[in-house]
Amino acid sequence: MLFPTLNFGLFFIAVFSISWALCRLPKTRLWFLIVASYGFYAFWDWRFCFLLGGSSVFNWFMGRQIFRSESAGRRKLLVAVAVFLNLAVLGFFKYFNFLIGSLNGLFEWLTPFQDIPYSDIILPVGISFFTFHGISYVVDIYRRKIAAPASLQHILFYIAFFPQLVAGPIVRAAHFLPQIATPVNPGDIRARRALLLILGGLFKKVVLANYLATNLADDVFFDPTQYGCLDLLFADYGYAAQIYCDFSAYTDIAIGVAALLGYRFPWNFNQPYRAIGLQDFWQRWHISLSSWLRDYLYIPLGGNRHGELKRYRNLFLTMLLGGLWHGASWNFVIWGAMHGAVLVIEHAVFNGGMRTRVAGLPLKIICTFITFQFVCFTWVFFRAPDFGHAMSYFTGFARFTAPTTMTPFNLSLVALAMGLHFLPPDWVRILEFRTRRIPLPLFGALAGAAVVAIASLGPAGVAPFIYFQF
Amino acid sequence: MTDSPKSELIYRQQIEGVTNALPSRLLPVCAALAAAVVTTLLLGSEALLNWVNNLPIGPVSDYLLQIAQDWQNTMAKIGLTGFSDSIKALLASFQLLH
Repeated sequence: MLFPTLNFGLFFIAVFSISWALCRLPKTRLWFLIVASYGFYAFWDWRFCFLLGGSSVFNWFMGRQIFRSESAGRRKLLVAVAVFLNLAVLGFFKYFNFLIGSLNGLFEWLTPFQDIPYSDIILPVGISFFTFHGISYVVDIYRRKIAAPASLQHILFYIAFFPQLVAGPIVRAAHFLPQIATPVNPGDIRARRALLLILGGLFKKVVLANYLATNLADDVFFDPTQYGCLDLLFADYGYAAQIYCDFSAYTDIAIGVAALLGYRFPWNFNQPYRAIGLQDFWQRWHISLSSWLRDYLYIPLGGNRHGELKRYRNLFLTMLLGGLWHGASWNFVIWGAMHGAVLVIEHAVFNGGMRTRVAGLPLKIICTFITFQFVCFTWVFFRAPDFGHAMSYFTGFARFTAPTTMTPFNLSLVALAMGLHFLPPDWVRILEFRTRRIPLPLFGALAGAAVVAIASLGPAGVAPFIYFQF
Repeated sequence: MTDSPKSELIYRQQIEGVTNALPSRLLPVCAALAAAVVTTLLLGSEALLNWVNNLPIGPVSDYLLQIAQDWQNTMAKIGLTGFSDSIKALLASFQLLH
């Protein structure tokens, strides 16, 4: 069930109505939202509801064991087991066939052994996200960021709550569990902001991301040999715009939907393409993932505590594994490695303080331009189905033909998506403030008209969000 | 005796998407959502018909299809489908530019 569909609209209206009708019965309300979330997940494949439930129960159990444990050694062992098993399940579904493929490639080169057969494994939607939520819970218990272990009901809700279930944002246990423990307040619903976020998200996904995919990026990336350098460059920029619009739309809608139900999710994007460096980029792009990787991977690896060289190693490894997390492909490994390498260089040159060291508008513009070009360069590896495709994309830059994709419509789409980055950073808040005098029911009616307008502007059908595959 | 990790790790605060947003009470929010649904039904009758057309075939969907078709005809008579049609026409003319 995709957000920008009537199916989801009907589902949400039902969930909203029933959940607020139950607001004086917090426990019953939570159980209802859990059932609704499992129903939402079952729309993709009901069998994986057992995996989701199993993951929740396992992490709840391990959290209790870690909390009750007196000895430091036992606590460490338990958290290591919990993290390992979480990652083992993720690894099995996500990387099993990738491993088989890589081993077959190696065997073919070394020996005449018969190929290891591939297994018919379906990747459960959102497995990375609910695994990360589970790890966040057990590690936060271990680090004593959570005062007491949560009840099973709270864990089931925390891991399965439908707005963030399949593509984030990744909400830390220490951040979200206190919200679950507090009854929702029917006098404090951030509806105006929520509706603006939902409308903005719908526009970015239904209009910008969908047209950028169907009119531009999909065709060019499918067969880059058919295009010249200008088309290839433009399609790369188009893909940069598409993936931003697609993913930020999902999280904006998720934040809005959660807010209408009385919950607060973290911000996930902050105009990433205006970043002046790669470190700045990662503080603006998929913020909940980059901060998760920092807290649960970079810091356990040692962070910056053991000297410069180990700090660089940890930074590089974090980005490499972050790249691999995106998918079982060498292209993602290359993508992560390139980001890691440039981050290391940036840290070494600017000592981690690029924001303070780059002063003056002209220099900032140059740094933003260079950062954007680098990010777009690495998006080719991210988008191309394999290394060969990525290489044929790059070799195409030596070919000059008259551009065919640079229509006024496509140029407008890219310009609009990029233009969003140069609005005031808090433009949603400004818009909310400017429209505060419109009575809320009228605001709702206008939102309904905007939804129809967006649906009329968009192409027929809605493609799944890009991050569902991760 | 405490056995917490040696160095205290301070999490950077996650900035919420609805920080400093204006609070509203439940009743006006319900009215806003109801108004949004009504407006969508009035202006988006064609999208509704398309949705019903894509439902699995059965007696319920046949019945819904009839209702959705009647609704769409009524909205077309009143002229409310013009909102969506004019947006589509405007977009189509823009797409044809080269």
